[in-house]
Amino acid sequence: MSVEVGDDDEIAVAWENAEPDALERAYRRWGGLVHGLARRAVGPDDADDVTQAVFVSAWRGRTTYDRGSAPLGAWLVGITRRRIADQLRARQRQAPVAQEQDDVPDDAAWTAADSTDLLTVYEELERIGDPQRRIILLAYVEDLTQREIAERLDLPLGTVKTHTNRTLARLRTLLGGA
Amino acid sequence: MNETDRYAERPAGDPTPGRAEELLQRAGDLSPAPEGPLWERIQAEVDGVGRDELEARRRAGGARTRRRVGRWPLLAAAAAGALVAWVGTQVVGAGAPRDEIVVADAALSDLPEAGATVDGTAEVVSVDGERRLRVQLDELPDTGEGYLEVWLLRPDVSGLVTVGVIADTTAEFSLPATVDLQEYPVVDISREQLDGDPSHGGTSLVRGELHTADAGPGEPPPAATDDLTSTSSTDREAYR
Repeated sequence: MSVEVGDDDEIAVAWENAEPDALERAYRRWGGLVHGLARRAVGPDDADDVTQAVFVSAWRGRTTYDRGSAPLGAWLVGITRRRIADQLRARQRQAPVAQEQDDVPDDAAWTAADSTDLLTVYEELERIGDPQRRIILLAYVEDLTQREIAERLDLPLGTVKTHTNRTLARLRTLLGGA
Repeated sequence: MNETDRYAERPAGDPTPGRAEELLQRAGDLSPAPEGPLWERIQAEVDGVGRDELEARRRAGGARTRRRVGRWPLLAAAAAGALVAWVGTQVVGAGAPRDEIVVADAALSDLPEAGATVDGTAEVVSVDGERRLRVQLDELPDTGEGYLEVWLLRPDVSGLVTVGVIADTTAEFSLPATVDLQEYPVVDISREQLDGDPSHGGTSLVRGELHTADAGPGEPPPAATDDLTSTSSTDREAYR
């Protein structure tokens, strides 16, 4: 969470211009997110492969990226969703008998529906961007109070509450109102 | 703690914590970068190096470049090779005497910040067309819990190539033809921890600059190189 507001867009510009360090900067910024999402979906053993596939295919397909239509983080999460699907399909081909997630005791609590919804949540947070993204993560990942978040981000408390409510409502709609 | 304060009021008609909040809490912090050599693998694949090849190189102690090396260094290396002198010494362990060409050599000096007092020499020889980096240290620096790794750096430390692990006072490494010694002339020996991180650990013990054999008396080793010895963790990121 050390990434400052504004960094993301800079990385996206570097990415669009195919600057030599753009891939590494994107990996430093979103590698943890991609890997974390992959881990919940395919388990720790295959999460490395999925992460590698995401960044390699994203870089090779970078000319298809359009900063105007999506922030880079949301685009990468979208690619993560597809590479996870590839991985699960490959797994099914290899072992038609369902032995789903036997090898992933750490993440046994993550069903396919959970990991898919988590992808949706993070894709949307990356799409909305800061400060909403940070507000939601500080509230639910770092467990800060609304007041603490307001102080941390130097925003009025009312603004933090409004952003929280609106973003949660948006996420709820995306997840089918659950 | 006050729940109303902790979380904003729920939208009307929804008294239960939402699924999004619950998933975010369960997933925890996803921001830390993955551990292990994953970045290395991604970069290698993007650069067209297969994973098996990368592993094989690592096991063999061969070199891998961190930045793409273009075609022109091949030509530059060939040009340098055309101007060097023949010395014709015997390679230890070789079945028959073979001609070798000294392509470049360097005096290695300890870096004061490293707390080591070790000097040595390095030379690049061409044996049957293959370039080898030969390192000789006066004594083996203290490695603590870790080990010593040999690198070739750009003079401004903007890029580096790992050459291999040195476990004795002498070692010889095979250099791929694609590594341009004009571009990466600085021999650097660093102390590395057994932490699974393949990047430069930031502690350089010994360093010296290679001078190609036709270059005449070279300049002294680059004292001005921004020492890896003093790199902070932030700087270190730049080498990853």
